Amino acid sequence: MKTHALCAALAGAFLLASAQAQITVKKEAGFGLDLAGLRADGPGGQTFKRTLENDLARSGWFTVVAEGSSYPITGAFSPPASAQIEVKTTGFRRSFSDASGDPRWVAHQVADALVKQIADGKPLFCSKLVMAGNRTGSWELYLCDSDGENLKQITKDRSINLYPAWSPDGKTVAFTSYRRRYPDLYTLDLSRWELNLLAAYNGLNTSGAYSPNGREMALTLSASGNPELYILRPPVKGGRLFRLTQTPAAAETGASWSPDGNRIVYVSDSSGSPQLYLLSRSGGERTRLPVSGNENVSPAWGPDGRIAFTSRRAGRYRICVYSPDSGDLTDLTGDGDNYEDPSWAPDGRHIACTRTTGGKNAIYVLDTMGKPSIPLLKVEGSWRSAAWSPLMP
Amino acid sequence: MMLKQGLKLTGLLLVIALVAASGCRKKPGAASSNLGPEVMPPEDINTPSSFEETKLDDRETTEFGKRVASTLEPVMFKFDSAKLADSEVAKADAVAAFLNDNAAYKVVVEGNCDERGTAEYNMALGERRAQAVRAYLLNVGIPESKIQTLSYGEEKPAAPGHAESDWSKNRRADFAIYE
Repeated sequence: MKTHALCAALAGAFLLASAQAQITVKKEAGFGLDLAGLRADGPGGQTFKRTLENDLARSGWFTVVAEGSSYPITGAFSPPASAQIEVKTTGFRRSFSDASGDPRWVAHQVADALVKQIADGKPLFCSKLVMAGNRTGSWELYLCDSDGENLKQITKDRSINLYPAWSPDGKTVAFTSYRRRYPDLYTLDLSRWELNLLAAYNGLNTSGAYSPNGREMALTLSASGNPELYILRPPVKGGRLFRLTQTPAAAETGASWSPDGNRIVYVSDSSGSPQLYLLSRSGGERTRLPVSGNENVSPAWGPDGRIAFTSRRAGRYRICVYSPDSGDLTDLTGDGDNYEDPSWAPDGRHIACTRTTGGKNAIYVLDTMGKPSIPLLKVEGSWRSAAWSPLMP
Repeated sequence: MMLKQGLKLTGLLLVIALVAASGCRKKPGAASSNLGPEVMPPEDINTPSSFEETKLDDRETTEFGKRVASTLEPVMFKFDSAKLADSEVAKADAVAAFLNDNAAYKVVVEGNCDERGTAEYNMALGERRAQAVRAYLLNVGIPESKIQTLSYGEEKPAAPGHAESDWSKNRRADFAIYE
């Protein structure tokens, strides 16, 4: 297990809570699956089966084993893009299809259903990731499926495009772009393929984060003379602005919403180093997140209430996960490389993040339940700022 | 004080009333929306009550014309600092003198960081560096309309290496001059 490393500097009260919380983590799931009885012929069938096997392995819940496993998966794939799946030992039987004719999307549907049915886990494969890549020589945004396939470039302005964020309906991506020379916020509607300017105030416009109901966006603006957090409502150009922070001598950025939309976690360097703070939308004072480390940045509040963030520990930037309920703190990356910018998968178990090795960045998928991390893309280039979408139909 | 709070409260009630009224008007004819039902849940009304509504100016870039060459030296910064150091003040003064001597010119102060720290935080730090220089220029009498700030964070290093000798060159504010 990599989920070790309780921080020694944490207050004693948290130690007890952490120890208790760790026991409840399901450590090794490893449900054995037997796919020998699943017929999938032809090129489409092979793509379907390869994608499904890959998903099942990536889920962290299963091992695909030979005959005699407790979960024999039977059924058949039919071209162009449908499948009938049965799990005799659980009585599960369902058909799947994809209207756009993609066998890979059918495999993602089946994998999500098996995660739910057999492992009682949350689905994650019917989703996408958007991230920045510099293979053209400038940082442009790219879109891919949850397994890194189907990679597509979605911006082409030869400026710098970074920090994409999904709207909760999975239809729009907000991001920071220098296409008009200055860092401004834009939205790209992926279904209508429509680009709109969202915020272009004086100075910095960045780090947009949609609220869980999609009606608001937290963002970083410096038009007051210093980077501060604001809420834009509705999240369109000309929406009303509400100011969240007022710290003339410090920078605030990197806001992320709690799943219920009542709180925001963000970065402030008002203490002299960048640290994480919580702010309630009902007002009141900010509170500092009780985590050690000389820098704590890029928080991401996950669907199950845990907060992933980047923490500088022993000279390295690591991805840590903090649970506000239990006080439990987990360090996911103790391998000596630098990691940053975590983004939760919709299952609340996996995290996409940037891993830096020898000056090159790659997107890795981490498992908060201890399975090894996996590189997302097989394509050349440097990749960063990944944002994992919500589940898509 | 009391009066101010009273006004604030009145304003809030007005906001609630307006929100409620617009919600009612929209509801009957509302097409199906991806944002969910048209009725506002109570927490949406809470936001303006606890945080101050603000107006900010959109960037005025139209009067920033063609870029012209200049020999203005960049202002350098210490690690993780956005403070204009005493040793750098002369460079900022040179920018002020240049703008005073060339009435038609304007400046974009470009804040930059070294690669240490995360990119998103460095975006904010670069902006603070640019803003520190801007504040100095405003203080010595340069009009606001002549200065824009731009943070590149760690995206535009002057030196591409990974040693302190590179990093120290990258913690800087450049001056881009426009007609």
